[in-house]
Amino acid sequence: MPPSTPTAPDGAAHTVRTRTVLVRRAAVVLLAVFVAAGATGTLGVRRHEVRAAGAGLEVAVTHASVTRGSMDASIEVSARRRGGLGGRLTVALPAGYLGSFTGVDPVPAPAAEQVDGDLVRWHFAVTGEQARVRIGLRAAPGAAGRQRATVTVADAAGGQVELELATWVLP
Amino acid sequence: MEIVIRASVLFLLLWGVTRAMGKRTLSEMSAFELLLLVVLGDLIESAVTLDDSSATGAVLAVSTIVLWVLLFSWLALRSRFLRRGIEGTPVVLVHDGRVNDAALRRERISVDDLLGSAREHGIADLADVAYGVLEAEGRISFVLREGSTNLDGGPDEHRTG
Repeated sequence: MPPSTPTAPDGAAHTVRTRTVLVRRAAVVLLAVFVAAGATGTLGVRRHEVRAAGAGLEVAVTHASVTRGSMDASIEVSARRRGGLGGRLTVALPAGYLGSFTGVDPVPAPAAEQVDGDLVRWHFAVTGEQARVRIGLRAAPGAAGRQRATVTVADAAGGQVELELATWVLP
Repeated sequence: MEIVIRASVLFLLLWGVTRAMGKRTLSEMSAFELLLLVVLGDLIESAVTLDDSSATGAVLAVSTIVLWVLLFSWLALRSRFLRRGIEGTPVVLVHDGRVNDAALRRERISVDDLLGSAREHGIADLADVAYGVLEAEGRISFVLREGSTNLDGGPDEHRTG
């Protein structure tokens, strides 16, 4: 006669432990909070606008304040000067900031582009009092962390404005 | 935001597709159906993530689908009406030894499949079966008539598999 080997689990296993239930519920709540954060755009892509003015030049820069690897992080610059921008708008960004992004694509096509130390400058030919340019960017896959930059916007009429922006890149 | 919406829409679509494929398909897939599911999975993955290759995006998509699964199982536990809609209802295929041909056609099960399932349960003759039921998850369970025994010699009247 072989020895008896009961297959029933231990008695304690029959009752679901309160701690287990609490941990499971907490996990579901965390999951729900995470999905809610994603649904509301908190986890990116989230855009933010900063404004500044100087010497008659008014500038608004819209950028991604939160983005994710491979996702859009474009910068849109809107400049306005009563009496006209003088035919040229220059946008400069630090090369260090641009290094965290790929697909750098200025629109419209700039009249000239130059790298000056750590700054990359795009010169756009513009007409009238208002101009809007876009620097297409995508967060590099694998990039993560907070990227900060100072955007310098200048026009041919002598105005120059500097704006601080920061972009959180989630992995 | 879009990834949560896309994951939700595609989860509901997939749920609809699997319900439409029939109960039996869920438990026994033909080679074609297996291929369909593999291709479907690939297409769904592309549709949910699009150009988002971030880890956050992937976790978000998975979390959204897990939440839907949890919600569906919670609703199914809470309400019998919703459970029928979410999981489906059992279908009687054999009653008192007689095969319900209409149910077999509706569930796209051949008589050979039914007989094969009966053999797997050690049943030599459908005349011994009180009930043969296609369960909601796709299994076929058999309840033997009083006094009948299966080939395993078991006196059990509630064999499932």
